[in-house]
Amino acid sequence: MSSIVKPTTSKNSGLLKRMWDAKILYLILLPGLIHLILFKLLPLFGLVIAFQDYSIFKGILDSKWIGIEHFSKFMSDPYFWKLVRNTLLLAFFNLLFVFPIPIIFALFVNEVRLSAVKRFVQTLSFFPYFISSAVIVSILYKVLSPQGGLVNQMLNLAGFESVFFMADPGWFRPLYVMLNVWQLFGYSAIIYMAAMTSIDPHLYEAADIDGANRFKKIINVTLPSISSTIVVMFILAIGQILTVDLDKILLMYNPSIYDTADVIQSYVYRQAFASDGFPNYSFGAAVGLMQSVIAFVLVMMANKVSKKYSESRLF
Amino acid sequence: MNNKLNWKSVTTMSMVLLLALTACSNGGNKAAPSASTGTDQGSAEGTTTFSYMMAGKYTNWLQDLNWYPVLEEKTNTKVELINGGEDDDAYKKNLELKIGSGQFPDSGIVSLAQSEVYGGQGLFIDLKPYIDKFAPNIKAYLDANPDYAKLMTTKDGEIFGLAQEYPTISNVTFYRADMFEKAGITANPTTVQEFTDVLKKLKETYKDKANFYPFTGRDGYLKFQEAFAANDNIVDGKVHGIYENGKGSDIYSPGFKSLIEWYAQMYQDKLIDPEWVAGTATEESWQTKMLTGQGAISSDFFTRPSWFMNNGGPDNDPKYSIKVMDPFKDANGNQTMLPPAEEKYRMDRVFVINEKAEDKAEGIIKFMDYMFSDEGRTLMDYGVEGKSYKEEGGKKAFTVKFEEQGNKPIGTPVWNFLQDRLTFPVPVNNEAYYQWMDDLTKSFATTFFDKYTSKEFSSLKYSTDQLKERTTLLANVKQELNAALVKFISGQRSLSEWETFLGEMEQAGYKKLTEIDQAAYDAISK
Repeated sequence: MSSIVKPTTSKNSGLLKRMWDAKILYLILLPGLIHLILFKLLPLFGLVIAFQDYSIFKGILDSKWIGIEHFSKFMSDPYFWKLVRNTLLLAFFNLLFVFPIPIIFALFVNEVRLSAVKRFVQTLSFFPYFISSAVIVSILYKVLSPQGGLVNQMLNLAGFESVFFMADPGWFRPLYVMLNVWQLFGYSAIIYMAAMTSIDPHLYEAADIDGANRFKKIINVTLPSISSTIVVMFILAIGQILTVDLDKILLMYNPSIYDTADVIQSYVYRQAFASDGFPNYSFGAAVGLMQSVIAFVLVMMANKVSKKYSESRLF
Repeated sequence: MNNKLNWKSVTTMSMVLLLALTACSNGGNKAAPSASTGTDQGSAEGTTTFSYMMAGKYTNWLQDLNWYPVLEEKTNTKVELINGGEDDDAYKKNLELKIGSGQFPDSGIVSLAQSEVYGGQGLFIDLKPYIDKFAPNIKAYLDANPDYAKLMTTKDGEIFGLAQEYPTISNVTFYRADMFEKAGITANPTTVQEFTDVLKKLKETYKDKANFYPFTGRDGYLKFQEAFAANDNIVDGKVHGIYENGKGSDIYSPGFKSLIEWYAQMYQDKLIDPEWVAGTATEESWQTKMLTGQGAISSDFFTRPSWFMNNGGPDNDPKYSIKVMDPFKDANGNQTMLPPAEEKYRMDRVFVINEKAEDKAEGIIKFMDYMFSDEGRTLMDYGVEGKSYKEEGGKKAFTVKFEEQGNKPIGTPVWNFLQDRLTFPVPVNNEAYYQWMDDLTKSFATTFFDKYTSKEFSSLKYSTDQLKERTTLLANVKQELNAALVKFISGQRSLSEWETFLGEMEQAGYKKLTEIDQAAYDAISK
C-alpha cells in the first residue's frame, strides 16, 4: 500500500497502470466528480431552452424550437443599446473603483505593526459584507432623504440646497459603486493579505539594507510580490464585467432614475418575470447565454494579454 | 503517525460523502409537497380529503379562522393546506416550478390564463361536468352571473377554474381633520380647484414646518384621474388607454395632459410630496408623514383611515383625527365615480383541481358547492349563530367586534370575515363585508361604495398570444411612461414636448396595447 502514498510508477508505465496505482486517490475524487457532473455540467444542457419557446409543463423535450428568435428580439429591442451602455458604464465604474480599493486597503493594513489593531481593523472592514442589500439600501434611503436625511441636513447647515440623491439619475452610478466599495473592500482584501503573508521576509531585510523607506518597500517589494494574485483577480473580475448586483439595483430602482439604472439584468427581469402572464424562461436564458459568451471572450482575451506581457495568467 | 490510506477508510469516507449528497437532495424534496402527498390520499369513510395550495399568508390566515373547522365539519371534508410561498409574489414564482415538476397538489390557486393553458394541456380537470352533476349552487351562481360564466368558460365550453369574486370597494381620499380645522377649512373640497385651494391653505398654515407637503402617499401618485376624464375605460364598446379597470390612464385623452399640468403645478408649489412622485416613498415613510403631520391628505385603501387612528394617531396627539372626503365633481359639475380597488372577478385567484386528483374531484366540487349555498355563505360571511352573530328582525348582526378580533397575532383563533382576503374563491356579500369593519370604516363604507364606486368596469380575458405580447409590451411601455411623467411633473422636461412624448409612447407600443385590449373586449362581448 506504500505505493498509494508515494507512487513509484516508472516513466515507462502506461496511464492506466499509473491510474490503477493511484486508485484510492481516484476513488476519493469520485464523489466530487459526480457532484461536478450532476450539478454543474449536466444543467448546462438546460441552456437549450434559449432556442425554444419553453413551457415548464411540456419540458425541454416537448417545447417548440424557435431558433434564435429570443436573441434577435433582444438585439432588435429599441432599448438594447441604452441597456448595453448602462450595463457597461456601471460595470466599468465598478471595476475602476471596487477592484483597486481592496488592494490599497490591504497594503495599508499590512503596514500596521500591532497585530491586535491589524486584526481589529480587518474584522471591522469585513462586517459590511454580511449586511444584506435590502438593509444597506434602506439605510441609504434614510440617510440621503431630502426630507430630514442626515446628508441633506448637513448640506442645509452648510448653506446648500437639499439634493434628491435617490431620484437623480446622475447620482445612481456613484451611489451604486460607493455601496459596492463599502460592502466588498474588506472581504476582497483578504486574498491580497493572504498573498502578502507568503512574501519572503528577506526581501524586506534586503530593502532595509538598501535604505528603502516603508513607501518604497510597498512599491518595490510588496506590490510586485502580489502582482500575480492581482492579475489573476483582475482577469476574474473582467469575467464578471457584465454581472451587476441586480438585488441592489432593483432596490434602488425608481421611475426617476430609469435613464441610468435600467441595465440588461433589470430589463430581463421585467420581461421574463412580469407579474402577469407566464414567466419567459427562454428569453432570460437567451440573454444570460449572450452575456456568458461575451464574458468568456473577455476572459480569454485578458488571459492572452496577461500571458504576453507578464508571467501571470489564469490558465 | 500512520499516514497510509486503506480501502476500508476510503470506502467509508466516500460512502459518507455520497450519503451527505443524497441527504441534501432528499432534504430538498421533503420541503416541497409531492403530488402524491395529496393525490394518494383517498376518502375514508365518506370523508373527503384533499390538498389545497395558496400563498402562505392566506393559509396562515385561514387556519386561524373560527368558522373554518366548522366548514370542514359540515362538509365532512379535511383540507390539507399547502403553503406555496409566503406572499403573492413568492407564490407566483413558485407556482410554475411546482407545475413543471409535477408537485402541484390536488387543488390550488392559479391565474385564469394558467388555468386555461395548462387545463387545455391536461393538467387541470374540466369542472363543467362536475358542476352540472354535483354542484347545483355553483350552477345557479353561473346562471345568475353570465359575465362570470363567460369569463370562466373557454371557447370550447370547458371550465377549468373558478375565480374569486371581490367585494365592491374603491380607494378613498382621507385627511387630517384636525389640521383642516387649524387651517380654517370648514368645508370639504368638491372639485379639483377647491382641492388645490385647500392644499394651498394647508401649506400656508404650516409654512414653518420643515418638509411639509400637504398631499402625500405611497405607491402610484396619479389620483383623481376620473375628475379629468383621464383614466382608462370602455365607452360604447371602445377601449380607451391601457385597460386596467379604470385604475390606469388614457394618455391620449385631453384630460390627461390637464392632469399632468395640474400635478406639475402642485409640484412646483410644493403642495405634493416629491418623494412620492419620484417613487422613493415607502409605506413606512408615508405612515410616518401622516402620523407626524408632515402630510395632511392621502388617497389609499379604504381601511387606512382607521389604521392611522388605531396605530399611533390619537396616542401621539389627542386632537388627531382622520376623516374621509367624497370624490370630486368633474369640470362639468357631474359627480365622478371611482374605479374599483380590484377587478370584480380576480383573474389571479382562480381555483383549479389537478387532473391527478380526478378520484377526489366529486368530493372537492361538493365541498365548493357548499360554500356557494346560503348556509355556506352565512357561515363564511357571518360565522355561527349565537357565537359570532345573531339574527334580529330577519337581519344578521355581528355579536363579535372587528376591533377585538381583527388584529390578533397569527396563530390565535379568531372570528374574522374579511372577504377581500383569499380563502376559497366564493361569491361575495358586500353588506356583511362592510358591516364587519371598525366603527370609523363602517360609518362611511356602505354609503360611499354604493354611491361612488363604479360598477361599469368589466374584466377582460386574453388569449395566450395576446397575454404574451401584452406582457412584453407592458414591460417597456409602463417603464417609459412612468419615467416620462416624473420628468414632466418635476420640471425636468418641458410640457411643450407633450406631442413628442405621445409619439414616443406610440412608438414604444402604447397604442398596440390598446388594440390588444380592444380585441380582448370584442371577444368577450360577443
